[in-house]
Amino acid sequence: MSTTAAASVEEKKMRPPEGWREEVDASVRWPVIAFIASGTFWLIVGSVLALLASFKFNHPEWLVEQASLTFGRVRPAHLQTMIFGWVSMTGFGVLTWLWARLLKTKMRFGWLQLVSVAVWNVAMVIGTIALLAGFSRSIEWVEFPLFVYIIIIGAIAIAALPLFEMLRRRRVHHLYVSIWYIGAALLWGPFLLITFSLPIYEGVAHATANWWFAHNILGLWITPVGLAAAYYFIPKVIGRPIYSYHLSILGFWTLALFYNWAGLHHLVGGPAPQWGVTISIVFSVMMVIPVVVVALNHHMTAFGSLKAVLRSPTLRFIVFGAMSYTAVSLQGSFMSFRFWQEITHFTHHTVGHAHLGVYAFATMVLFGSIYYIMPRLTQWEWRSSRLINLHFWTTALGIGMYVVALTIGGILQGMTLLDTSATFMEAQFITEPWLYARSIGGTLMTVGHLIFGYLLYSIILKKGPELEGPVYFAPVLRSGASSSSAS
Amino acid sequence: MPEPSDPLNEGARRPPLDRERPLEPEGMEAPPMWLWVTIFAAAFFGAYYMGAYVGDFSADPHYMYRDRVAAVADEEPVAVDGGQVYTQRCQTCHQADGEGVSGVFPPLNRAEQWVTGPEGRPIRILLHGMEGEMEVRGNIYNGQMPGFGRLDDEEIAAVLTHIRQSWDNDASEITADQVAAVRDAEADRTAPWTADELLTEERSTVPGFDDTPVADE
Amino acid sequence: MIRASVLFVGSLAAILMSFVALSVFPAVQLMEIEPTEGRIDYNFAESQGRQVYMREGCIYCHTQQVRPDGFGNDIGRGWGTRGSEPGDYVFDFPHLLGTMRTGPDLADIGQRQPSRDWHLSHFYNPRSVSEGSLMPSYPYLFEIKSEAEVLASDVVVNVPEAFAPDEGVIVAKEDVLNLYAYLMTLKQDPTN
Repeated sequence: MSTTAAASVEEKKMRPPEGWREEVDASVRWPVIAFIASGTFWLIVGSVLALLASFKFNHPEWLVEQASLTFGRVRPAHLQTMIFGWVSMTGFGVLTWLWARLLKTKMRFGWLQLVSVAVWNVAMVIGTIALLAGFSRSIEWVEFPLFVYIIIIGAIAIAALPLFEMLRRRRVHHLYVSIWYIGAALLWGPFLLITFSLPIYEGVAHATANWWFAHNILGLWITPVGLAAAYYFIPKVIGRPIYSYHLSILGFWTLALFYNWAGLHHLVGGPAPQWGVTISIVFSVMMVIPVVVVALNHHMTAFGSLKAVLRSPTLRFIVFGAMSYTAVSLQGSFMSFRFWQEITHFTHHTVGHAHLGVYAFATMVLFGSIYYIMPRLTQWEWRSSRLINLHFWTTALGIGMYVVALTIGGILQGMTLLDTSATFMEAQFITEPWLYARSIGGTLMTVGHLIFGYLLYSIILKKGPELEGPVYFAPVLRSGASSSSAS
Repeated sequence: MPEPSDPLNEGARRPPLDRERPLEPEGMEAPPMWLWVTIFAAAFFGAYYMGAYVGDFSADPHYMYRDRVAAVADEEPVAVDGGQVYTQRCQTCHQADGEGVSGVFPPLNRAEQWVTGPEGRPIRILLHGMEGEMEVRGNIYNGQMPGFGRLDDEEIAAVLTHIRQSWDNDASEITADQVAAVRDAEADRTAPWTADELLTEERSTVPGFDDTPVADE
Repeated sequence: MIRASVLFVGSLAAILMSFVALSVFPAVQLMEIEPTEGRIDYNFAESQGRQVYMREGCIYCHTQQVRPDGFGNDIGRGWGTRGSEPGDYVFDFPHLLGTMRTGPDLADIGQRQPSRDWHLSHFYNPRSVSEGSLMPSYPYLFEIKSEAEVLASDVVVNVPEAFAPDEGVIVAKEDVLNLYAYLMTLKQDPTN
């Protein structure tokens, strides 16, 4: 399985010196750690807000005296801290490391990224407090006051500058597939934030722009970073090349062409022009193509390496995430259809779907990436494989419960709402046990986040025992079974 | 295809950076035939769906449902279901059992003076609303009920009949003609009624319908 | 891929197309839409009330869009008489269409439930008038005053005894009165 196209003469001319990994890692060390640590802080803040919101469904009289803790303020604060704090900041750390590694180039002006982290955190603090204090713009996915997004756009721009500068000095000829996704996301993210902030929408047009934007933040800002990480870590840890360059190309360009048309399916049945909704449904269905292509590419790469998946924390999280990506995307294509939306639109079903995407895919991939990146940046091992194991199972079971509960509960809610003989309250009552299950799942996930936070704290400050070897999960398979995993 | 190695063991007991294998360049496998079939099928379906539902590119949000709405409008008018109007308009305050909410919204069940008594009163209450203190089944209520005069005569008649014949109530039917007569007679009225006004005989009856008002108490 | 320029130009071109088609073009197309007959811009109290609606995050549980006959059961539930049209929203920024129906749709709430008594009691504690409701209470939109302190201009809220404070009466603050005023603008037929 040799490649001829990529390993060209050009490639040999640009070959970096021995020991380039140490140099490259050292050059991005503190910016990447700062991004990951900040993101994890927002993950824990966001988890607490999420639990508050979830418990309020179970006990609506809980904490109602405080205006700042009412459901309608806590919920957007949860979403914003998770999207623009946890996923975006941690994602930026991960993409910076991938970018440096894949270009085999040292980062200059790393201090710019440190400035970006500081500014970004300040924006997040202001935004979160503003929401809880009652300054929500009430625009889903962009609830912070407008100036907060202007600061965040600035922070992204500052942090992206050193990356574009590295591109000019790169020591590889061929750009690896992860670079395509990251490079495109670095343009798409700010493009989305800027265009949606333009004061040119009102009424229903504001709604169409809103959902064009919100769906794309997931598809063109969060998803590319998740896929870039999966494209890097699966072959890297297994030690096998990505199955097919052709599939990589096909998957990337179809995603770039199709994903950004899918957002208006959020307005099915509403007052948005029908042609726009129909176009979005068509492209939601067309998303099957990039998803199947990427899934095939990853699957064929990982196929037969079950043992590695079971033993490596990185792989276990990332394979979980990659499989969730396939699941959430195919579910999304299906969910866009009018006949299905007639039932599930406006129900908890959609919330389950959103968490399958942002959590089971994006968040799990970020966890996996961090388990690989941090020991290399700090020259220190994770303190305990048992805690990593616990982190995996609490989050995996937690999100599993969460998604299953809301998926089923949402369908039941939708069916009851369609039944004219049922009262509205009956549609609410039928969701209540599932909302309890959601709270339990959410609690499990939060426990996992606290464990993860502790592990991250330990490795950054080099606490814990000085281990000599890597922290892998104990071999799960017996020797007889493991040999069969070779294909 | 070479045997997959186990890089997870190779680097044991060495620092993280020394136990990495280089990232190999991508393979060059050709996409399988079934993938091309899938892609073609998705594109084909997309083209079909676009053609079927894209509509006329106007700003109309419900283009594909217009025929249906027109068809429904053409159907024979169905008799108004008073129970349904009650559920949609009255139930949130007066509750499904007609008992109201204690201290806030008066009951409709067994509310003799106001509901099952002379027909003119409930029709007036529904048309223009009511405010101020009133006594219902021995309790004093002091609230403000909005008028529902924008409902048409059939709807008002149906819902009042429903209320007057539900739960423990068993009073006469109210017809759309009666509602129309009261609406006509009180055309200048905009303010909500007070209890005192409605307890006069003039405001208890339906003009032109010479049923003698049932005596209070 | 070897050239970064191909990547950047290609990915920008891709998103630019959908931005123009799905964001800019609807804005241009809907600019010409006439307001629904009878719909006028919000007055001061109503726009203040709209701010309260936004601030307290009502959109996370309530939609303001009725689906047409033939799609869903919104009209059957009595949430409106027709599918919502772009003309219903011409004075809205931000839009508050919403995506969740943990609570019922509010596009026609001004017509369905005009009672101020009901809304105020419901905001003070939804379970006082709607048993089993999951909606939060908003006690901070009200104040408890002793009978002697009540001014003639105050709006006193009646709630069932089980929900009433031990002493004093409940008085609605301006915010919740504005919120009620805003809700009353939500009518599918604003002419009546």
